[in-house]
Amino acid sequence: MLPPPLTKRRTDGTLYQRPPEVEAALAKVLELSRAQVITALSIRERQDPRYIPSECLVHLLRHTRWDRREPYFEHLYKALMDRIYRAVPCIGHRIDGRIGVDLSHSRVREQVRDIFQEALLRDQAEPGHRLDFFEARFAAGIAKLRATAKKKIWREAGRQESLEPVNESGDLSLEVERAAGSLDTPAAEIWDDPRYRSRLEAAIDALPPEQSRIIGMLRAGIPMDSTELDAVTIRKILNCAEKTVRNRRDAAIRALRRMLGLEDQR
Amino acid sequence: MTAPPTPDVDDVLEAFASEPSTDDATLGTYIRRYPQFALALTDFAHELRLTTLAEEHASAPDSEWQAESWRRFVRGAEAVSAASPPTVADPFIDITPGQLAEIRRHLNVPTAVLNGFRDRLVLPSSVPKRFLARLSEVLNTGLDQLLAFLDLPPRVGPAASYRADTAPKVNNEKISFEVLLDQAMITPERRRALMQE
Repeated sequence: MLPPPLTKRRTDGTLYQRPPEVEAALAKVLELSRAQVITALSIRERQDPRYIPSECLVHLLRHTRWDRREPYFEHLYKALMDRIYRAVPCIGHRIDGRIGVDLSHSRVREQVRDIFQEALLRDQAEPGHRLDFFEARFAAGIAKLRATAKKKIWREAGRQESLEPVNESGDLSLEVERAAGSLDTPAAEIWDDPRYRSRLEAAIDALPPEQSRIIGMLRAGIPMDSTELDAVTIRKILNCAEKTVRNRRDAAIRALRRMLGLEDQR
Repeated sequence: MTAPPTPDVDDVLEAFASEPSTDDATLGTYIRRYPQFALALTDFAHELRLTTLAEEHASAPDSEWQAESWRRFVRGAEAVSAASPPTVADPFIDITPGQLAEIRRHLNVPTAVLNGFRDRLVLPSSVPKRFLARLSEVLNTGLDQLLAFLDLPPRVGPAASYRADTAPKVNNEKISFEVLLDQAMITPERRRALMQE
């Protein structure tokens, strides 16, 4: 069966499209009976050929008429909640730098669930293109919701202050330069070691947003400042002094090294 | 010649997510190309990395999370339907005077009886099922839709809107089918026949 096309349009008028692999998976899923779908929902290993990708799950959920007496919808909904549960773990670096269940992560998960649920309810009441992004790229849709949820929680918690004392002199100590070097250079120990990867991402996630964004942009090769007038720089993006960018970066590096247990390895 | 439309932040994030690789180099390219969305892109790329990493690790399902999420959805759905009850289509809205005359002849009732249905004055439970079925058929609507329409409160008929000297008032009391037939001065013989339908 040919899956129906998405209806969301980009500003240039072109339609959103599912990636070919999602389109193919959905065509297969649409051939299944409801009983077969329910059986397949219990498969959680993504490598299993019977696994239903989350994008297809969103499609089935949107096209199943909501009826509380209809157990099929409940099966689909709970399976999708499991996918959200997996995609937004609540174990990470806590604000004190230790690893454990972080209440703010737990709230992010709940916020993501609630925002998605509201979008689904509106989609049920008035079908549109609100969830098209999730039907095309579920992980990207969840990533957007995570970013939205975090901003809301940061605002509520007033978590805009740096956790680390900021060196206002603007002079970088040798040790901070070394640490920064380890984060700037792709060939460095942390970036290349797969054992560090998920720990590093979780540690960056624990930083205050103004620090994690600087780290993110540095990793993407955006310079802190430049003498070239038309260069895109972190200073211009954040609309602040170069010294402020450096201070925040230094604070971030110190916090990351501490969270990753690298303080004594220099 | 008009300039191509400027992409919005959703377009840019979607384009970034559609790239074969969403690594740091791709993020750098996008930040340089769309500096106005640099922070949204940086946040999005960070969350995408975290989401992808999390999805790779199969955690055990949490049935309490699923059950609680389901309860919240049911509550939310109930709130939505309470706030905006489903709209009921008016089966009389597109009926032309000619069609109305045809319906009147088909059901063998005067206009006053049809007006009683149009203005939802009749108690649906008092109308014989056979008559309701015939009425829904000639109105080209389903029996359920017709009953849902008749269940709504009485309304002011189109005629009342220009005939009355003062603002028309609606009597919220509904009347039985038998009373309607009586008020429409249907002969006792015809009334008995209609009530037996």
